[in-house]
Amino acid sequence: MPKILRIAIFSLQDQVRHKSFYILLGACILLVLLLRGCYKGNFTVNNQQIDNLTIAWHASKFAFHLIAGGMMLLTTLLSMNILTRDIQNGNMVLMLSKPIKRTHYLLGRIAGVWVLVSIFMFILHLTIVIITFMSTGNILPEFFLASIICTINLLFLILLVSLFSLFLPDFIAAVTAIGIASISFISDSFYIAQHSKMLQSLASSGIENDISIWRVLWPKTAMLQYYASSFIGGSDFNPMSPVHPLLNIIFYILISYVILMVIFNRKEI
Amino acid sequence: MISLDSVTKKFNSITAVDDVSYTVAKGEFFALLGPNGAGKTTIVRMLMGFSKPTMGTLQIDGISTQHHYSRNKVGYLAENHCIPPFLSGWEYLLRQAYLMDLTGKEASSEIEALLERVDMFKEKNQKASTYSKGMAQRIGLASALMGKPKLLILDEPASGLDPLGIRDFREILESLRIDGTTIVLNSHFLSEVEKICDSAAIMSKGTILVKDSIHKIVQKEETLEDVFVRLVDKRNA
Repeated sequence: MPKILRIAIFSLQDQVRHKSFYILLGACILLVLLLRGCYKGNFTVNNQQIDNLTIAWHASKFAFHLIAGGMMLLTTLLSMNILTRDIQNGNMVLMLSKPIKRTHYLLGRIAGVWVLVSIFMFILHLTIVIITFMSTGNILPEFFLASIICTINLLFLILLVSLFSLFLPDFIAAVTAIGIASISFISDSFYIAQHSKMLQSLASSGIENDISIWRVLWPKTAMLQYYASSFIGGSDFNPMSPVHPLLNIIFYILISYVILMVIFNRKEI
Repeated sequence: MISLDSVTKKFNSITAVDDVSYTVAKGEFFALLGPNGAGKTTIVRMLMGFSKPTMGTLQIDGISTQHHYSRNKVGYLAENHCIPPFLSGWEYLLRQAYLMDLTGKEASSEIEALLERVDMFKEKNQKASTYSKGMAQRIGLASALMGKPKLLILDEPASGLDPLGIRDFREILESLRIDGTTIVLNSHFLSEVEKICDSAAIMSKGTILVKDSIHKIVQKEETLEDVFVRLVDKRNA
């Protein structure tokens, strides 16, 4: 078995060994199950009764964003001490005293956490699919594709937090990464809201289309999430920049990865 | 087996190792001695590839220590050996075995033999958080011996061991020497070093004061400790 895979398995084992992991997973599933109530209400808009499927569709989309956003927060917290904890508990010396490349060690560690948080998110999204099925009898297979797209955001955050943790205390590294993602959420959500059909129909003087260059270049974690959610129910997606958010995030993943590897290879252990 | 060529290591303005050169032959039992801050651990860390020299080169079997393959047949025991607290001794060694591509029965039988050898078989399933420092050192030694290394690098291996542990440790090292394993021992236990090592280098303030076979370093009616104190005092004067 390749050593990267071995190290990734060790990472998974280290995380799932803690009871707190299961408590967290259980609490998240419970929280998601609480959303069942949203599927059963009687909603009336403009004196018209909203059908069950429309309600379920909106509730599922809301839940999708809630889970994907929450998972980004959880990912930063889980990945903030991948490296420092390994230095403290001897795991890094254990692995690097063997004929293992530093890049393999790091890739294994990152891959382990990525797989873990992706499975975590997948379980929560699956819960929503099951709730929707039980409420409406409809299956939303596009939910799974949307979930897979969102895992790219999680990988970006793991790399970003790991990179920052080489310079900053763990918690500050996590907060900085959350800050970057939050700016994306504010900027991209504002853009999405601005370009929504409802707001455009309400605006009398038209919508301002000038966008600052930093907003276009900023890591588009939120826009990628909006892109993923556009698969659910086949809704429209209006990207902010000519560069697709998927390409934007992949670019930042590659940049973060290269910088992380260069710095980690030079690091004194 | 090991060669250091004009190795210098600086940490900002502090020179931890200053233009050190020496070689250790295959099968040699070599001790690296010196007071605290002499640069011994820095050399060991550079040999393991954990740290890079500012100048010079270090090689193991002709391969630069910056290349991961130089650690192919190297066993290492750190000064303060840490084991992840949530792993048992067995699990810890199993991970080592997997990283060395040992699996299944091969790994189990080797781990069992090593645990017997370091007298930790009964405690194999205890979590590392319950181990004393001496027990962790024994597990660390077992991990260093995994895969029958050709070179063993031991950084203060006897720290935390009780007298019986030190005796067991010496017996293990003597058997390894008979097997032809090259051993680099970084230690403060001069009496032990005098008993078991072939050669030694005494370092102080990053430089080597003397490097020779033990019987040449220690003159008549002297102990290694006398030589050590004399040389280090002279260097500090």
